[in-house]
Amino acid sequence: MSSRLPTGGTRLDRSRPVTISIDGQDVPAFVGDTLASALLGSDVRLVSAGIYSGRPRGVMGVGAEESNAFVQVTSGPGEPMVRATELEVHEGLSVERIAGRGWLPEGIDHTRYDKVWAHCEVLVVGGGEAGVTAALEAAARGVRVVVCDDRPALTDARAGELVSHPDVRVLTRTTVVGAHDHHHLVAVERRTDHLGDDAPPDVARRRLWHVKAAEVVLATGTQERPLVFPDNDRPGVMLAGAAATYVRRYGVLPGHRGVVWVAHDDGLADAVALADAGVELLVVADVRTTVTPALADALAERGVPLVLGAEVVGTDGDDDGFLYRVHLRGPDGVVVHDVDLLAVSGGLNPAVQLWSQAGGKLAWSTEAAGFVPAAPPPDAAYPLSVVGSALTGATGAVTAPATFFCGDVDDADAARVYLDPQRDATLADVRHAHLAGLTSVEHVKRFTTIGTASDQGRGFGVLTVGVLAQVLGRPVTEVGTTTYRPPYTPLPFGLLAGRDRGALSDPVRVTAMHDRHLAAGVPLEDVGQWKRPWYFPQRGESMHDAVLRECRAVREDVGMMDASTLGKIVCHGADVGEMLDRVYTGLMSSLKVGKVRYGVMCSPDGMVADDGTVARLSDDEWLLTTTTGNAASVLDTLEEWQQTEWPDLDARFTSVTEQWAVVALAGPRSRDVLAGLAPDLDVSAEGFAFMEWRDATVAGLPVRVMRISFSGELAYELHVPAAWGGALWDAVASAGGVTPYGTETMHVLRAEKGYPIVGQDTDGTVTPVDLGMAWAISPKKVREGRDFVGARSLVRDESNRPDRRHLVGLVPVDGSTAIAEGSQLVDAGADLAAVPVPMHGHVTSAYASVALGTPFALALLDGGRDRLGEELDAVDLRVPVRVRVTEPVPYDPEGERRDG
Amino acid sequence: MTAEVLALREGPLGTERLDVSGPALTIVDEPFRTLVDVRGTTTAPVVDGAWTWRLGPDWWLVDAPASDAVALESPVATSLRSALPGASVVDVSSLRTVFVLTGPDARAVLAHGCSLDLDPRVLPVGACVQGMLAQAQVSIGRTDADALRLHVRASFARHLAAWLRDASVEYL
Amino acid sequence: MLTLPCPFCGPRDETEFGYGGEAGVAYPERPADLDDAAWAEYLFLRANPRGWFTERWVHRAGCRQWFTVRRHTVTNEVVPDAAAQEVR
Ligand SMILES: [Zn+2]
Repeated sequence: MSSRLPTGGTRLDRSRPVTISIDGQDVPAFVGDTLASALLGSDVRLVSAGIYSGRPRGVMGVGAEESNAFVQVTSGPGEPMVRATELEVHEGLSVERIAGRGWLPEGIDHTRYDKVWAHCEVLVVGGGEAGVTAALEAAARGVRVVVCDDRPALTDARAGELVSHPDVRVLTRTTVVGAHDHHHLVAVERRTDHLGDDAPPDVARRRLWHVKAAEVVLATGTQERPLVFPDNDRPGVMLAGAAATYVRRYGVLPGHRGVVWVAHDDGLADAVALADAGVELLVVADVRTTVTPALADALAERGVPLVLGAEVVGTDGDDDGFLYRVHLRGPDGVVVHDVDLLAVSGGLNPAVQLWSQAGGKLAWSTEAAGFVPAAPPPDAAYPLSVVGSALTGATGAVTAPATFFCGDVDDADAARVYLDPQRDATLADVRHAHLAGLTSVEHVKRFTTIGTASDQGRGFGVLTVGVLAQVLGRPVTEVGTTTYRPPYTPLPFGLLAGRDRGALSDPVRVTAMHDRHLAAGVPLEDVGQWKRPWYFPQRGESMHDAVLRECRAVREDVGMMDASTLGKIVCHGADVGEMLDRVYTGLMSSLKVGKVRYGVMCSPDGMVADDGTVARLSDDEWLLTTTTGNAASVLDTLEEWQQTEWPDLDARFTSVTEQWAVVALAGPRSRDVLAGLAPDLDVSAEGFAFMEWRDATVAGLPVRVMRISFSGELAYELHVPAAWGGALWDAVASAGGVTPYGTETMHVLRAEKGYPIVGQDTDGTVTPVDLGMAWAISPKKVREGRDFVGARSLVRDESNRPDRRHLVGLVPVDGSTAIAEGSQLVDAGADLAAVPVPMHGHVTSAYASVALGTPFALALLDGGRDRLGEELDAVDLRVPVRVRVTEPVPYDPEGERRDG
Repeated sequence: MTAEVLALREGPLGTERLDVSGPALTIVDEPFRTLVDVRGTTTAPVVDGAWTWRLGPDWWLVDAPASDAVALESPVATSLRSALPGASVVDVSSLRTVFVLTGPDARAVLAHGCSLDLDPRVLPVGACVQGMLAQAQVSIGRTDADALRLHVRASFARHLAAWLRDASVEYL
Repeated sequence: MLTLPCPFCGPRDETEFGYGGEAGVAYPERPADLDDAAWAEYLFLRANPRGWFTERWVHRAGCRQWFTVRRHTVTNEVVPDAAAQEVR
């Protein structure tokens, strides 16, 4: 038996039949149908089941207010918990019935989602008559307008005029889900869902719109709310307005024999429409005792009995639980009607969700029998208004709607009065909440879970407020609503991710030598967003062996590394020296042109923030290097101090990190290699001393050479404008016998020298003194009482407690067992089962060392400098390694190797 | 010799080029432009044949044709340095790179990853905005009704090129 | 997502900015003269009102200028801080 009418259906394209399926059962439909209308059109009443009760559920509404009919889409990429009332059909659409919860489709959804930002002076939400009017008025002022409407097309006669306006963007199939601060609105556009397999693969399936609007106009209309009674959840119980809409939009008869029960005039008009469509209406009941005479006359003309002051007190279901009898109590007692449709309507709730999200207040209107917009959001800089009689509550109804939600229900029946069918929550739950002492609607919501399902109370929320008011014996105005929060309707994570997935999920930063590293096939290490060569394995070589070989090359011969990711900042100005004296612990202003100095920066709390080098390029130009990870924050810090505290200092800062590609050349033979590449450069120990820089021609390229060492060996940094970075890398690599090395070897070499990495060996709780780097604090500045950032904190008693954690070295007592980074340091032989085990510090860096002939580590240890020689256990994953505390500079502590 | 050394230069995209072309869209890269940061002056630095973008109250980016000098800094930077005593002049030719977007769809492509309002009424010819595009910091200047110049840090150039290619698929 | 008024670039998304906390907390003239408690107060203690709050932002992804606004911590209304603008 089909309930599809032979004609009609404003949304249907009857020339385009399609076949869809539910649980494998084919269902005929037309393009333009929703899943709900297609199922109703084929008399398929069962759509879902209660999550706990297992009770059968059907279609109740026609739009976003639906709180019964959720399905699992299994065709295409699949999607859980989709509202049947908004799911447009297409050939091949396949769904499964679910019991209250769906499941995430397996595998990866490869369909395309994207995002777009849009800017406008006026955003109109809702493209009905009022919305179109507001949009045309705004467009006539010559400003940019965006109109969002969640239907497939605007139906207003002026839609064409609107769509063709050059300054108007009309987004259909687009639901505004969030009204955030400062008129940042978020909307979901469904672009190809309705096309099924015909969807072009390159067209984003859905689009997340970020609309920035100067002014927002809400024309969102209303949502119908039900009336409730025992067994109100049966398939066959529908909203009256929804039932009439199925006839009009989809040419579908929602039932054949019915009863209508309403509390307002629009519901009576819906009854007239149903009767005209051919539904045999046994009776129309209204809770009110007075109704608009014209509507009563219209029903009488159609031979439909109208009973006033009536209410439904129960329904009976057939063997499958589907509606087949309605118990209606009128002035003459209870009458039972055999039906397949019970259409109910308790009133029209203005769709105030976005108003509320934006911070607007709501108030109960007796005239509208609903919550209507009251005080607007306080921020007058972002005007928000509502248009349309439905939304403002000015309905102009001849006879006022009743404020009525639910009749008298015995406690025995209350557990079958469903207030949130998706949560299977009932009137009994509300009464239980009340007995438990809860009176606030927010508390009752959380106690009963009513309104927390994916429909977020759009179907039953206001009705529940009314029911709660009845239970509490208070007026609705005192109970108030819950707060509406984004999103208005659910949106998938794939859409939130958009195209920020896979390779585009996080920017990858690469150096000028990156293609060389790729060609060499070296493993890359993530250092922040940078990709850096980790080590350079020879054929068949393990990482361990490669790193030992690279280390040996630097210690005994010569190696090269891509050091381009070093942060670099040029400082210009007459007062840069003074500025640097204030932000570094050391003295920088005395640095001579041509020289380089190591520096440590602290935060005002005295903790190490960064370290690097300072080179003086000229009287008023300086070059700072920072750690790779802190390049941005050091620049931020310099600018903040200069702009906000020391605007009188003549100093300006420019990041030049990517301007210079850097090849580090390190090892006892590095001088020879450099001499070969730069025949005009005096590379002698006297002519080019440690911590100096020179401009030179290296392999024909313009290069700034800095004699800096991060390994303790004789070493140079070659800085070249990055366009020549690849050429410089090639030139050094072909200089003969230079071993390329990666970040792992760099770490071993620096750790052997006890050079800490800020952010690895420090964690924001470590002072320069804790690191054993008191020497980096200028004694002259201290002597003269000159302040620098962090100075005051470093003289607090707390900063000088002897039990502070100090940086120390560790070696395994057996000379061979590796120590794990992150190990906790405990007493030697401590019982690890006797939790909590007292912990004295932790391992911050740990490596195998060919130079030391033993694994070793750096660690932060309570009072560590006073514990040299002490034995402890370094525990990782419950496995202790006996270690001995040493100086943090295990290798070449006298620093004799840096001159080669 | 100079020509040989110049030939050794590589742009941030290496041997790849950015070459997106649709009915109403082209995106190309322009490696090796001469780019100079100027800070500390509120008057626009003037360089023949160059675009000068204002990035801050006293911060400018000069976007000039490629240089054929083999030097640590470009001649344009050197001459600006002497022309603007007191200002901070820094060669950033390798720090950033330039992508050029033209056509009526150029703005639409950028809108997929950029919250900046690039409407010509907000960003007229000659004006420039800085902000985020696809998680990378960029500056975007308008040179014509349908032409935008985009400056991005070299280390982000490949990411941004990949993003632009992907963002353009609906416009090809 | 807030929209913040950069004095140079105009209104922009919050994502372009860095937050600088309470405005008007000047670095002490002579930190060495402060006792530990007074220094700790400068370092760590900031107002956290429910209502209007004068705070600093930096347009990090834009012109890199620091500026001051008044923001209502409940409603997120944001207005330029007139007093701060005069000082600058
Ligand atoms: Zn700005």
